[in-house]
Amino acid sequence: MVENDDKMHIDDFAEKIAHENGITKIQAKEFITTLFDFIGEKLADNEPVKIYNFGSLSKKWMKKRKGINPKTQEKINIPAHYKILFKPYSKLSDIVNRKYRNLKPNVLDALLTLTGMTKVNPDFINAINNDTEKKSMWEKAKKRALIILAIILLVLLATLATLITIPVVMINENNKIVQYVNSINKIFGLDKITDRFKGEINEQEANEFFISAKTKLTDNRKIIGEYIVKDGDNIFNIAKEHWKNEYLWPDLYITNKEKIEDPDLIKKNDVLVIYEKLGDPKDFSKKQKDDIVYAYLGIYRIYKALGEAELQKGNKIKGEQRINDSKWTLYTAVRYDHNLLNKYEDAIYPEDREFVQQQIDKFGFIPAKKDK
Amino acid sequence: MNKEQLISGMAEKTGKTKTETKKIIESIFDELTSVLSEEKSFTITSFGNFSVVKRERRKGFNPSIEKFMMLPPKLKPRFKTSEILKEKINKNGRK
Repeated sequence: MVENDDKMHIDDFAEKIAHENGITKIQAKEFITTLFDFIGEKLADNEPVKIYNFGSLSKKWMKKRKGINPKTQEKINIPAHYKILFKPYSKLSDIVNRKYRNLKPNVLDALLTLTGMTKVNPDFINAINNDTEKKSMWEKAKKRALIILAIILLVLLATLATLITIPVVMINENNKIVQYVNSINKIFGLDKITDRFKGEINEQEANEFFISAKTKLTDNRKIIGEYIVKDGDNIFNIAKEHWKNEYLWPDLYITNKEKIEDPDLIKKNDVLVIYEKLGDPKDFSKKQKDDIVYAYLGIYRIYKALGEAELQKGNKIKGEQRINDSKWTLYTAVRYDHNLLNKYEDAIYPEDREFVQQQIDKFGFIPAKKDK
Repeated sequence: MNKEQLISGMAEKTGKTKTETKKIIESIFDELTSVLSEEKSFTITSFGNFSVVKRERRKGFNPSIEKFMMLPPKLKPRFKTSEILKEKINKNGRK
């Protein structure tokens, strides 16, 4: 979604209206203000306003929700409130979309060749249509199975608990709950797991981070084109091709985050939006430096989260590799801002901080000159 | 409220004839349409901001012809309520 920053000033607007209707500019401006105040009054009185050939405006109740302030990244509670809903009528939409009127939806034949079908199999279509229905049924079945499992587990735990608590109660009545929990944890090996999960990255928090990073990076930047992912592409090469600098790839990733889950895994036929180059690393402005560092921090987080997820699944080698990647990403980012480790202290885990510091002591900073 | 009611209400407020009022109101919304079609935004401080946002092209499925399609980009008119109007409509709580 791109918003255009070109503004029409009310004075220029009023001048045109004045000219068309043979009234003075002041009168026109007054008329416009009165008109919209009048519409505002009607809306406040719960009356929708319909303007023929333009659109309808109505009052809508918004429930309270949680959000983040994109500037300060603070979590904020948005209280329930009314907002004005604007629905453009088709005439307005047609006029606004004049320049796209020759663009028609294209049939994607690539998908047919990809699946090897000469035409789309009706079963395939039915499968897609029924997909959502099936999914919900599957979800229900899964839920039921989980509940049954939970009940069985509870029964098991209860029997175990009676076996364990008896000696504990006899030893010390006051500490019995703590000991009971500890003994249960030890039996199932849960004590170790809880220790390890202290490093886990909260998913919601991460999502909020990405939204704010994207807002930061797309602010005031022009889109220079689109790129459809081909076989054998990777995100570094795409960054190199368009910006002549593969080290700027985190920027490409963050600006297309909603289409790419894993930075090392982009899918064929994905359409990536290419923004203009952030700048030349040799003479980045302070804001550009901040932006690229922020993007790198995003990559650090995503690698870390993906690594944790792999470890959770039991893929030890893959998980550790991912976590290692996250540390090296940080070291790569330090070249843009030598003060990064202190500046973003809260966003970096102590062990990673130590690792990066070690690399800096050993190899120094990568000179920004190395960027072509 | 439709356009007719808007015109008669405004004629009453400004003391102009209905024909005059109709002409001015129509020219305002025509002008606003052309402002939006040039991808510009227009702000009325006490009311809100009209602008257009671009929806990028995307993949979609057309069930009637049973084909996957690449849908072209689209410009969407948008309205953002100003703080002043927000205050006005929220003054009395939920009705």
